[in-house]
Amino acid sequence: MKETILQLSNINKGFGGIKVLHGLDFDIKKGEVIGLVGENGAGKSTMMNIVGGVLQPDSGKMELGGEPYSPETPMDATARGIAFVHQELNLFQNLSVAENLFIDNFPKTKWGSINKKEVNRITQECIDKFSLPVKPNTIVGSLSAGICQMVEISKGLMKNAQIMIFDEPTTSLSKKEKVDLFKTINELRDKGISIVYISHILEDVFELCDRITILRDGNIIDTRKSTEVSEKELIQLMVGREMNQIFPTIEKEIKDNIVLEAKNISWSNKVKNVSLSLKEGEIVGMYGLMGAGRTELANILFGVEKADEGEIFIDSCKIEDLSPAKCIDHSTAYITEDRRQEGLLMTKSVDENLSQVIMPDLSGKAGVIDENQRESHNVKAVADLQIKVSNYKEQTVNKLSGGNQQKVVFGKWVMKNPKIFILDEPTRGVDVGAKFEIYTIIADLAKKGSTVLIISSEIEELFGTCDRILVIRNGSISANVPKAEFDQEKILEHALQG
Amino acid sequence: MQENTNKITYLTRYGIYAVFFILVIFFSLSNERFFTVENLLLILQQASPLGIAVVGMVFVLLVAGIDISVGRSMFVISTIIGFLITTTQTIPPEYFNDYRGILIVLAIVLFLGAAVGFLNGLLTSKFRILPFIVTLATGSILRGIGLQISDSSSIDVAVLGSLSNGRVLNIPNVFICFVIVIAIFDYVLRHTEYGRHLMAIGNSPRNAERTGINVKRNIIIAYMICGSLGALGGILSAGQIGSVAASFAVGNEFIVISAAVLGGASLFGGKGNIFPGAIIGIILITTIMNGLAMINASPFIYTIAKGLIIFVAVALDSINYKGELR
Repeated sequence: MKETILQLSNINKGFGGIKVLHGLDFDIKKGEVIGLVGENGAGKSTMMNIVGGVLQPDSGKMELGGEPYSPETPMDATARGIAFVHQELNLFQNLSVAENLFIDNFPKTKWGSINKKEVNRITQECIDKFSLPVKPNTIVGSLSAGICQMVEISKGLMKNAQIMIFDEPTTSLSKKEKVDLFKTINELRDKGISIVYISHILEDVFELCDRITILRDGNIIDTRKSTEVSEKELIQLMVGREMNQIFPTIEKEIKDNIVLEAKNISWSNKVKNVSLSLKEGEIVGMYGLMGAGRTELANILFGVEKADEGEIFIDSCKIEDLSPAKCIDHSTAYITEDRRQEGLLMTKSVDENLSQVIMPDLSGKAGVIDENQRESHNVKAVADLQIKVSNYKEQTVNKLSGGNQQKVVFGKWVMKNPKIFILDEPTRGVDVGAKFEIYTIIADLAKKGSTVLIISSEIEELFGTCDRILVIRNGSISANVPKAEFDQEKILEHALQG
Repeated sequence: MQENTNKITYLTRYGIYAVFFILVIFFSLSNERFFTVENLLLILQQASPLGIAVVGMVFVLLVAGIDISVGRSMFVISTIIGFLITTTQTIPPEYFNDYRGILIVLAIVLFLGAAVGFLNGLLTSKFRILPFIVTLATGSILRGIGLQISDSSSIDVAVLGSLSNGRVLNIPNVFICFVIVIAIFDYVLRHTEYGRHLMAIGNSPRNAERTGINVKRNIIIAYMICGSLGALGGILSAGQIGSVAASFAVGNEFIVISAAVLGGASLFGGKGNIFPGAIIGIILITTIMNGLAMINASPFIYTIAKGLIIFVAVALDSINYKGELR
């Protein structure tokens, strides 16, 4: 029986009033590879960020090798022998491979300058180990994503940690690079080093891991030996929640004419030959895991990004050189997934934010804004959407709750009475009460005849609002599931790779 | 994608050299004294003081900062030195018969320069005020102090002439200083942890912070280096002229910045080098100024030329930056 090296007890964590980790108990044994699986937002990265010192828990404690462990910075974690290879790369584009590997720990000569010989020597060892097509002095900015990821992994490996955490390490790797990585992980395990492996690719998780822990909605559901659980069971555990959320009844009509159609859309390597069509009055969901290409597709449908190939038709007329302005003219609205960065002017008032889209329609001659019209529009929006704000003219948006912020975003678009709505994670960071209100807003839009495309990571939310769900996997649509066939496990299965 | 950006970089880089080459030919043909050893040495002598300041500016540009107080810092510090030598004679004239005088002057200059740099660095990194605004403000204040000390009249610093205008084996002293400064600071940039950390900060302050680099402190040090070297360049320049008038060093910061950018530093940070960057930039500009003098260009041509050079330098930097972003 292997001994425990890291123990988490009753770890709780919340952000802005919303709890994301609920009393987690988790342990890692010496010399094991433990997999961490769960849907988007299950809490995997958050939990590991706490272990890695990036975040601090609200309550609960951790013990490393029997001693109390509470890192306040990533450096503290590294000092205690925990190395974290993150999903997003932490490399400097203007420095060489060697410099990136040693950036926080250069070996020095006796005069205090960098010992370049030593740096290059050790770097060459790493390069040889993985057969990377680089030299120690190759500038990182010229490397492909896959090689960059290998460099990032090498950085972690060099730290001689006792626990290594890998967060989705194979997203940009080629088959060969993956094989090399797995070989290295197995070598580390043989040396007695513990590894936490977070991944959506269940096939890989089964291949590498001794045990697998399943998270769901911020709770640890179970930990099983990888030899004692099947992929089907794993998926069941990942989604097997009781669906008890309440949704407003949606009364609407689906017509036959197609309002939005995309044909053979491809973009970069993220969207691969996607075709879809939305009928007037439909509410269509889009489900997929992080990195599957949902937001990229939404950006293309709204003209934020230009597709490399493919055509888009709104109301059966083909639109060339799609741009957000053209989409707005064609009665389309887009609510992005990051309202703080993209949806709102955070330091401006509710009043100013609400007027953003409709501004051109309020300007009369010489572009002067009709203040009376603007005021009546805004007052109506605040009332209709029940935006809870004391003085909408003075209250800045950054002080509002997540739910109210999202309502302001809705408000700014709704005023234009668009026929097509594209929503990306419309209830992210929104509390339960406000969620219901937002579902009501969506229901009202549908009742008035709008067509809605909802991108979401919450299957329950899509079940409660949509007529059908498109599942995106690795840039293509892997399934089109009608309401009658809604099944949590089936949908997650379609979304997972392999 | 990579090939496109490289093409743009090569085009802009060699474009500058091509234009420079054409101008050199033009000047050589217009005045036979242009392309002589004597004139080339003169160009080195003219370029070196500001060249030293360019080295310091590269450090600041690397972290996407800027220091437009350099010219005025040169003015006030040179004024103070002149004041101490000529007006109050706190530094006795005898000291300049041997090395004592020069040493004291250098110590004061480097210290004051570092102090100004420290102030600039502190205000911009700890208080998060835009470097442009900070150095604009400190520059103004320093100029005011300088004018107050000198009472707007010229101060004599002729004693420094032996250093600033002297030569060793016909090589200008100031050029030797320039070479030494380049050697030291190129080493610092390429071979020390500080240098590599500065490059990292220039590329991504956020990532640098996450890696444990003390971003604020490193930025302050960069401004201190810029301040010291700027002051050093300033006093050498003052020595060449022989006196510090109210108009001394006015506009120097833009020549220094343009030279740094022409030599490969980017206003957006993360890019730049001392050798050969700092030399190339300042020699380029100085040669053009020298050439204009050789063809007896009218006074306003200089201003236009300076403006064009600044414009070209910054425009190329922007074009290159967009290329790399993609």
